[in-house]
Amino acid sequence: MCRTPLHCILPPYILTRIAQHGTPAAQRRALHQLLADPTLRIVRASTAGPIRGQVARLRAAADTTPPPTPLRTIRDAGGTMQAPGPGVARREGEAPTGDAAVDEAYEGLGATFDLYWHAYERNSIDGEGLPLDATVHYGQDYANAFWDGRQMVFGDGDGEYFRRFTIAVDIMGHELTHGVIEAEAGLAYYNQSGALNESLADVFGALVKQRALGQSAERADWLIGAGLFTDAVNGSALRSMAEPGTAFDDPVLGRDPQPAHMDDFVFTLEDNGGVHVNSGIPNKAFHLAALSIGGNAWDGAGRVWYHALLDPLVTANTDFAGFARVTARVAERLYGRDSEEATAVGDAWAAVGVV
Amino acid sequence: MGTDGTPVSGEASLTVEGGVAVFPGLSRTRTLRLEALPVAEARAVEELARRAAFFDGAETTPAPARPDARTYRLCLTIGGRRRERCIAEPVADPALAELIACVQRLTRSA
Ligand SMILES: [Zn+2]
Repeated sequence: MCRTPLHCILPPYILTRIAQHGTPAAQRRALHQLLADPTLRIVRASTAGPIRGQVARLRAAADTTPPPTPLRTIRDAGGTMQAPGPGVARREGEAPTGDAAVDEAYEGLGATFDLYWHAYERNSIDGEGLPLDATVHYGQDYANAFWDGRQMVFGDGDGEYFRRFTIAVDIMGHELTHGVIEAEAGLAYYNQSGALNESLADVFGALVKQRALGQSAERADWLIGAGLFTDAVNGSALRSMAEPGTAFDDPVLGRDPQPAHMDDFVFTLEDNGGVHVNSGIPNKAFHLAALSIGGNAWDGAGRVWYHALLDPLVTANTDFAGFARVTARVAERLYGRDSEEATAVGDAWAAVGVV
Repeated sequence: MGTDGTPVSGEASLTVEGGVAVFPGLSRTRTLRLEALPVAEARAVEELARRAAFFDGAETTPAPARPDARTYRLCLTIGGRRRERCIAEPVADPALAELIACVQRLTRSA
């Protein structure tokens, strides 16, 4: 995969010039690209004696290039509705503060960065090492979290029905993934493309949690936002990817409205056309594909969904069926036309009535 | 307009849409009569509405929806003036944000 189109089409001698004389970031990308080049791999494999000269210098430089690390800043809104908050509570590398929301946000950003880098070699939200910013203690009794286009914003909950929103690492993965989606497919946030946007945020949010806990697809709970509800609520989480529509049924909050099949698709003008409602359908498809493929969901189904998100065919108005077609193509490309993975992906979308 | 000691008459209603999840039980419109509030609280709503230029500010085109951000539909009737505004998060004007938070707190406990 090449996220820097210019580097995809450049011949090796130009890449070499960039590797020698470009900016530090451009040097790293050029080196990465050069070393991924198959002709260079052949040179490396077929060189009997010690490698000397330019190739040796490039290899040495690549070996000493440290892997990317997150650059996190957590700010404190102090109960106001100002984001970013005025005060910096914790910067990258600083010790825990003892403020649970600040420290959870710091750890959650780190866990999300780790999933994207270690599973998909994506360096932060934009693939280019974008600093990760979050504001906590937003508003009074504010029971929500959102992505404002530049940063994640978290409330402390109302204490009555909702705890602080940083308590759930998958919610942090969810919010940052909205940034990734914005940087890639740019799925429009209404109707089916919006529900797909929401589903992808849930998918990678769940994978952040599963990877952090070391849970396979079989062992994971597939809940989104577990732990957010206080004991006053009759419910386990905001959503269930395994059983959409069953996460809560409470006298005050109402009943989980998510469908799990296209037969039950909800047509509504609210919630930007039901983006948080109909996301249950692609959520269920991912869950089925992940269970069928088995193992760690971020390795198998997650890899397919991630590469589909980056596919040029997935654009602002892609609907469920369009995304399903791309995941099927990606699965064939990654694993083979008749592979178990490709079959699992096709079966999963068929099971929820999308194809 | 009320002055100190004079009851403030009017109404405030608020509908909250959006957020990281949909809770059907929380999506209804909540309304309260300002006369039913302690005078100090009703006056606080009136003052926040004035500071936020709620009745006078120009109508702005709603920004594109931000993922998981809320939209507030706030309708105020105070001193014979009535206006409904639809405000999306993040709310840039601190006075307007404070007004929304205040009405939300009062309608929740009403
Ligand atoms: Zn979302």
